Amino acid sequence: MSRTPLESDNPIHLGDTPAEGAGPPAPSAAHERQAAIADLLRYEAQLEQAQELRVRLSERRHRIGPRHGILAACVLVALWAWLFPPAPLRLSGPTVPSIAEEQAALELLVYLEAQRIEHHVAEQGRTPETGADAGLVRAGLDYFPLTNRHYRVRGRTDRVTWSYSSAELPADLATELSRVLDLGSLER
Amino acid sequence: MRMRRLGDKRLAAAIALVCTAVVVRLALPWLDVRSVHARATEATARIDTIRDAAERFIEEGGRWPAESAPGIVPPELVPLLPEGFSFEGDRYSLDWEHWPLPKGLPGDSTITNLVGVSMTTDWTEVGETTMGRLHGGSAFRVADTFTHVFSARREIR
Repeated sequence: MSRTPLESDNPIHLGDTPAEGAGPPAPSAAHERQAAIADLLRYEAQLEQAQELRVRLSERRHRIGPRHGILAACVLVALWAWLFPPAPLRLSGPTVPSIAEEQAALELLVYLEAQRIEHHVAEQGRTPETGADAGLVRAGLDYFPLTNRHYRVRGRTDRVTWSYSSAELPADLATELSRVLDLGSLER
Repeated sequence: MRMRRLGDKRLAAAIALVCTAVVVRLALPWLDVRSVHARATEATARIDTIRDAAERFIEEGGRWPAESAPGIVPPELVPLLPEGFSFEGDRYSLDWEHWPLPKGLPGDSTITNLVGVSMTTDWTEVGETTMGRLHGGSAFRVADTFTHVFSARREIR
């Protein structure tokens, strides 16, 4: 185990003078001690500075600055664009026809589909047992045979219902159909 | 210093992410319209093909192809349609419509047939756009089925 100068067999005391002919004077233990203490103090001061710097940086990092403002503004714009978009940004949803339009279209469809039954009656001489026997297969349409000659076809959507009875033809059917079907636009 | 750099990077990444969200939202209507138009273009082309084939059929045989179930190609039209032609598309199906009118149409008893194509789709924007693009004829909509009636030409029996 090495020994320090302070622990040597011949300790040097303050006020001692170097022995004659001993060569250049050796640095005194006091000076060494003072230098060591100064080093230690410097080191502690540096540590303290580093600690202060760390605290300052941490505070600066958590302080609200211009970048945080930009982020907040971007978040607000994003929320606005996604949750409350202006008209040009809104996705075009499906247009829902008015009840009157849907009613008129349903009347035309039911009438046309009922003609399949009419065609079957003309060819077979009697109403079919099921709508499918005459090709009436479309969803939303129900077929009810009434007699050998007469029948009823009911059409329904989520919003409107309409029945066509071969026994009681609606008086304004031609007008209703012409509201939907533009006969002038059809090939003849 | 390293900690500060890390914090700045996180902040920049958050800003970039939020800006991306805004750009995506701005592009959505454009993407939506493009998607609807692409699908409607395809459906319109199919309906026009069916119409051409049906018109060739009546030219040759004097009668319209018989009705078939939705999504099924009428057997009489198969030779007149391109090979592998289908009545089923992406999110829609087509249906050949042939309505015989034994007593004529109310208001015009000379019309004894109506023919057309129905398109059933849950993507109603595509249905509306497709019907708007078809030339001539008359279109109507019941629920999610869009029907294009294009001819009242008589059959020659």
